[in-house]
Amino acid sequence: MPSKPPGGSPDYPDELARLPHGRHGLPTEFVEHNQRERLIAAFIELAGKVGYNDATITAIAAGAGVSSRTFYKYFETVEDCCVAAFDLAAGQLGEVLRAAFESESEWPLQVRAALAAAVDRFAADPPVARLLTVEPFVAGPALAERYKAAVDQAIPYLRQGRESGKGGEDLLPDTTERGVLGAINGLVSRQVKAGRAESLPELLPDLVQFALTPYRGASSAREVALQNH
Amino acid sequence: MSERGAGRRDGEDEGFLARWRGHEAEYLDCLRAAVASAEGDWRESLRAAAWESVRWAEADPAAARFLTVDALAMGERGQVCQRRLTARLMGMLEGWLRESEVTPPPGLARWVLGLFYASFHRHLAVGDVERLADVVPQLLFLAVSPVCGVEAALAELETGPPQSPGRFHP
Repeated sequence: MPSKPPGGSPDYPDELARLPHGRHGLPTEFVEHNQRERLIAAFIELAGKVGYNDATITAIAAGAGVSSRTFYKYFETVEDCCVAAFDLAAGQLGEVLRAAFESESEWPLQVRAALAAAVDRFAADPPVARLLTVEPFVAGPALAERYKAAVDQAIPYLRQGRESGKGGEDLLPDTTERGVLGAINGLVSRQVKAGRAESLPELLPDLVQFALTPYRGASSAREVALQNH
Repeated sequence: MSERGAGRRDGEDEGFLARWRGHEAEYLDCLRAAVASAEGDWRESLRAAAWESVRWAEADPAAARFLTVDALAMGERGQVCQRRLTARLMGMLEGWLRESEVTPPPGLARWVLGLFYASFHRHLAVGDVERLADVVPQLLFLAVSPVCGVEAALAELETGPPQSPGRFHP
């Protein structure tokens, strides 16, 4: 989902286009879906600029071109809207990462492909990067839970490295995958918080090397990290 | 923003900064003391700093939570403070590596800080300070393996807190 709500409204508006004023004859279901999606897109854009803490209902509604009253039709609080935005963006990112992972046949290259897809996606859409990597640490327990669930989904993909290695990986601590994913998020969110999301692809070799090292050793991990770089 | 609102915000900023500076100074003092009493290379220094961070958090969970979790929720001012502290900690780690004449992979300091921060945040955010000590050996394993190799790094899983006491070491 693009985080910028597109303006204009052609004859058959896309899902995020602003609805024409007055009697438009569109089905109620379509209008409601459209308004909810616009509120989510407006939240992502606003939080990308000012952060979750300074995102107000008035500003979100204004960004979506609806009234504050309409906001309350779909969400009780900014946190509710943030959680809905996270679910949508995390779901979309998950599909991108799965496709990238499956585009390769060897596990180290699969990990590399997935990480490359993630940093490219974040660089192309910094507000989404902020939503997925920074706000879970800021926006309250509901989002923290969602973030944890998203990390849990990624763990099995990384854990495959234990099965496809040279042996000895059984000695790895149980928390290896969670630690690696947490550190990856730490590196990415640091760039995003500093307003440098666009340069995230430059981090790829480091991310690949550190993610693969526990499973493949440092030198082998570095080789994969530097491929095509 | 009204004059009154701006004044209140300035007051909040000053209160936040005063609290931040107090806790940050205390934490850094503890780290320096622990590292100074650790003998050996960068790995010993990192181990001492990691364990001292846990002891400090156990002794004052509210302060540890403030630096790790609450500051981030304070918006831009908290994030700037955290970025500065992270930069100082990265500088310390890079200094230990230089003194040990180790050439680390690029980005190692950022990786190590990210590793510890993510884990500390996860535990402190839910008040689970007791389990931090359990994860330190695993974090140290992940932190040193890019430099020392996986087999050598596995020794971290069997190595407990350093003998030399820091300020909060029992």
